[in-house]
Amino acid sequence: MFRYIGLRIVKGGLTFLAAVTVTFLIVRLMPGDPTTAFLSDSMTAQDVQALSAALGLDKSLPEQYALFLRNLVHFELGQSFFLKQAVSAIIAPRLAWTLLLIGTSLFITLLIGIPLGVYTARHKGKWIDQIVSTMIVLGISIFIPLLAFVFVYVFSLELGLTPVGGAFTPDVEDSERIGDVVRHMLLPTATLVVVNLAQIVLYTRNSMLDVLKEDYIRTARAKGVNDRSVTWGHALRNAMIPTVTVTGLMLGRMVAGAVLTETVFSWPGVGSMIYEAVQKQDFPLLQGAFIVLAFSVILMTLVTDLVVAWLDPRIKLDAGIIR
Amino acid sequence: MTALLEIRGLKKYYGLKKGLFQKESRYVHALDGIDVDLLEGETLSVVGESGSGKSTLGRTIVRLEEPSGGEIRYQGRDVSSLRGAAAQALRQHIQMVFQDPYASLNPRLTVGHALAEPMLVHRKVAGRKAAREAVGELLGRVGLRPEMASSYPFAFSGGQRQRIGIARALSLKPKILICDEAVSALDVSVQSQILNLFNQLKKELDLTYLFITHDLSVVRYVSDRVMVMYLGQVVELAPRDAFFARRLHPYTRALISAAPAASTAPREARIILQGEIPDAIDPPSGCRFHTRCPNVMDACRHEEPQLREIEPGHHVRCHLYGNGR
Amino acid sequence: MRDIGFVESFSKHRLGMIGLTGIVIIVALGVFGPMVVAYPVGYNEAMPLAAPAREHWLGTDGLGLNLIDEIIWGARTSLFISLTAVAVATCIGVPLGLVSGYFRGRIGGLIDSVIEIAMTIPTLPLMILISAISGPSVGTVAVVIGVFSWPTLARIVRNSTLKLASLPYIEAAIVLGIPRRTIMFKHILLNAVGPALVDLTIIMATAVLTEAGLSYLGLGDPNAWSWGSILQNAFRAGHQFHAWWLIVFPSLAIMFFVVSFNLLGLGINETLNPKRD
Repeated sequence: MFRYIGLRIVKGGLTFLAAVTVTFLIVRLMPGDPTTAFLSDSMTAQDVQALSAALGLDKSLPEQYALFLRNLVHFELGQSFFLKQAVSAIIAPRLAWTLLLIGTSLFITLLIGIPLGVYTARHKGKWIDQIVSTMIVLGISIFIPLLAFVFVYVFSLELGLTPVGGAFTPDVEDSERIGDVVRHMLLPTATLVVVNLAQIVLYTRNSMLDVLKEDYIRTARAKGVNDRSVTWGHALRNAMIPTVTVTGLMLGRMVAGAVLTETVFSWPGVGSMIYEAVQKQDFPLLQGAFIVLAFSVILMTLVTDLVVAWLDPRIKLDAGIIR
Repeated sequence: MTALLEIRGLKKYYGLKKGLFQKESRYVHALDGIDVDLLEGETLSVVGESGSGKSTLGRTIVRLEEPSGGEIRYQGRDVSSLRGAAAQALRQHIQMVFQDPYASLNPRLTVGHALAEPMLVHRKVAGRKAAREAVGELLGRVGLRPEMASSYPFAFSGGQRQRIGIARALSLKPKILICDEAVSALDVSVQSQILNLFNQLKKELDLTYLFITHDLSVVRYVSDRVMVMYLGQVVELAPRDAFFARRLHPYTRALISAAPAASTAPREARIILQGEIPDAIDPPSGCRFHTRCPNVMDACRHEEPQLREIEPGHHVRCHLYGNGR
Repeated sequence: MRDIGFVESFSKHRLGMIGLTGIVIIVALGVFGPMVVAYPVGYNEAMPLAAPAREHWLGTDGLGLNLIDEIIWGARTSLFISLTAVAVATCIGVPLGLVSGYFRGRIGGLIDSVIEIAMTIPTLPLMILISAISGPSVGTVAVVIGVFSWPTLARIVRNSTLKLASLPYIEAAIVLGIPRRTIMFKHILLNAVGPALVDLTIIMATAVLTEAGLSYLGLGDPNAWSWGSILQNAFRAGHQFHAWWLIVFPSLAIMFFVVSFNLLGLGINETLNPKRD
């Protein structure tokens, strides 16, 4: 098992390296003057020189790459054009908000999605399954801004139940702060949950259906193990493996979903920061946001791989070929 | 008769990997020093249980597997390590018929396409019209109608599909056909039809067969000579009649006694072997059969017997014979 | 085998047929619509932000242009984007998947690792970065989406190839001396099409969603009418709350496209692997 984990970590590291290298290349090799990505008119000549030197814009590409990597290791992501601060300082708090949102959404999605998938697999064909299946198809087709818009329109504007945007209300009593954030979080979380629920239910249901067909399930039933035990005990553990794997793959899509969701709800996370940075063409901020997001996604994928390793006895015992 | 194929010391080992970074340390000894000649115009049957290496032998001859050692000589030339155009040329001489008629034809290609393709690849025909005629002729030869060329495999029965497979193997006009359990997956009634087809084709086209099978009644029907394999080695090789009459090797005796015989004559006692086929990764010391042999002697445990010609044309690998006894 | 009956079996799958119908409608709109309807351009003083009425069934936008025209031209754009994305993904993903699945050993494993790494990189932020730097254009977006979709396709093709490569009819082709390239790109590919086709429908659906998302974020092509750009204009100008048709209809168009392709994919998938008890 440890070899598997070690391999995963190496792969994660390589992925991250690939991601940041791609970022590096995109910014520097795109058509147009690469320097405009990092310099802007609002900087003084002195700033420009200092920045050029720091970024090594006058040096050759491989040297720039080395400099880029070295800066990365020191968490040095450059300076934002417009906010005149270090990118890393800007991103840190926003990352926290994004992780809060994604984390909560993921948790709720799995909490509802997995049992729902299991349930519909067991009751395949019955009306509840048909309804859920239809909703799945709709769910994977949803356009996030529309859903977010509808939520805001109905719950915030018409019904006045939830705030229109943001993550918190300033000047709120410390004792009320958590409740305040929770209220702000309701709609964005609901949006993300709806979108990702469909995927999780689809995968859980399908992999559950596959597992339930297997002979060892028939054996367990023939032995007289009660149905609920069969489903939740024997079948679920094995059916979970593809689900966990797909969660890992889904994380990239969740990030995309978060970008759109945060923008609509003005949630102060990295996603909406990307939107603002795009508006203002603040490339260092954009680049930094991407690197940070890539890192988070890769890290979370690694965690799901570890969960899979724990669940799958074949990996635990190093038995057989893994992938 | 001349030897079309001469096999000397043929070995095939499969390495067992234990993971991504560990080196292979153990080997499956699928073929461990095979010496045999395939004589022109004969049908040599190769018999054995699963794990004996008989399929591996066939696959190695047609280069689906690469030999780990030893020689294969075709018409006198060593062909065991040919590459590129030379290997392609050899394909026109040695072909294979496969076991499962339901899996040996590409379901997405029409029969005509599957038959014409090898001929076009090897430039045996030029142009579509010539190809179509050649395909029609091939189909006729195996007892099918030329119109069937435009159908897909799913439209045919197992026996018909096997005929198509045979036609395909013959499309390059080979001299040798390796038949790897070619009738084992067919219903018994169909088996006899296909066996008759094999015999007929052999006469019409001057073919030489290496017939791999586990079914002794088939062996009795088609063979000129019989070869028995056990755990990667040849243990007996004899002309057919001598093989069944003399039954020299103890393993041969057990095999023949286990074969069902449709007869009302009193059954001979079945020889039931103890134990199971040992691991091909760590074959037993001395004679590989000694762990299950009813006639086992002391020497068998320590000394590996050689393949000896006991009577003209009859070779056995067993301490019961030869060794000056 | 049963694949010749594929068309027949598929036609019995209700949801799949619904999806197919939807696609036919979209194609008709996108291909023939623009021949009938003029390209919406300029400024129509008469009727900005008019609600749906008889003169303009779906209403008009902030410039007074007919929404239905915009949606029809948007259909063409959506088809262009999704087909381009599919073409790019196929050209990269299918050969890589075939090679990786056929040559298992080291080459196969190496390509597979590349696929896996490519799959893990979060794509939307990267696409935003690219679009922001290179300037918005429908062509760029389409190609970029294709470039981000190939890993999944390659994986699927690889998995199919792995299963197929050890089948007897492939071994027969080898023994017959059929060249490797032909084996991969004819013998195996013909049989690996099924699951790949399903993924292609997903790529098309995702392409349109992604383009819409990018447009919404302001990175859409201002010179091309796309459903996303209609939304972008509406949100930008703040029309969303009093001109609901500007939000609803393009969004419905997007969903219609996406749902149709997803249903088609579902239909193909279930026709290929019936999950009957």
